Amino acid sequence: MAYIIAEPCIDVKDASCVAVCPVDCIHGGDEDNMLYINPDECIDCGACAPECPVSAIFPADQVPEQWRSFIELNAAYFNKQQT
Amino acid sequence: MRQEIPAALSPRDPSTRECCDRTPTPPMLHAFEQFNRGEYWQQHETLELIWRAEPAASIRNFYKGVLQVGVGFHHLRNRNYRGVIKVLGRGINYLKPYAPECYRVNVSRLIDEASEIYWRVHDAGAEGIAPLANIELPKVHWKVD
Repeated sequence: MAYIIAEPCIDVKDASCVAVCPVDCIHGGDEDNMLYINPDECIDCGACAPECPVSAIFPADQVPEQWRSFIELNAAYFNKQQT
Repeated sequence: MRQEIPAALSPRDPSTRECCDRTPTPPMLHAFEQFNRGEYWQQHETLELIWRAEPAASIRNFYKGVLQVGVGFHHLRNRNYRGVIKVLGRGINYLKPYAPECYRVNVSRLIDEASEIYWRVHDAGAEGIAPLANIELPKVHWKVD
């Protein structure tokens, strides 16, 4: 399980979460409209969640129903980079 | 001769050796003891607090380096190939500016031994990681004066 970034991050990309992540697992380029957490790198410490000003970060098993698709979206972002 | 480990680092903090003559604090000693007992998730929690509280930017990547090497080992115990390659590789690269020693830690030895693990996992690939999941892993050693 990992933490997931969901819809509220879109077009916000505040990046306060990036500064507090001890394993550097939150990524996103200038061309991306949100940030993503790499589930392979995340160690589930939860340091990122309280830093988010728009409450976009959730443990994977607590993502609100309307944003469940972002679980796959976060993983797919990194799978796409590796192909 | 192995190639450099291809792991990009955060440009956030500069890595310099200006704080390396410091003596380890009790929380750091605690973190290294956790690391050496194989309590990799716990060492990450301890070092994360130290890293976040550290005002000197030049030394922050030393903590992050040890922390991420330990997290890489955590991922290895969980047979998480991509996690090992990404996080262990980054941890090793974070430590390089602090070699040969920092805070009395033998950084060169940790880099060498962690790199050996990195390349073993790398060469085994995702399909071959299972037999490596329980191997003996490097420890934090002190510099011998």
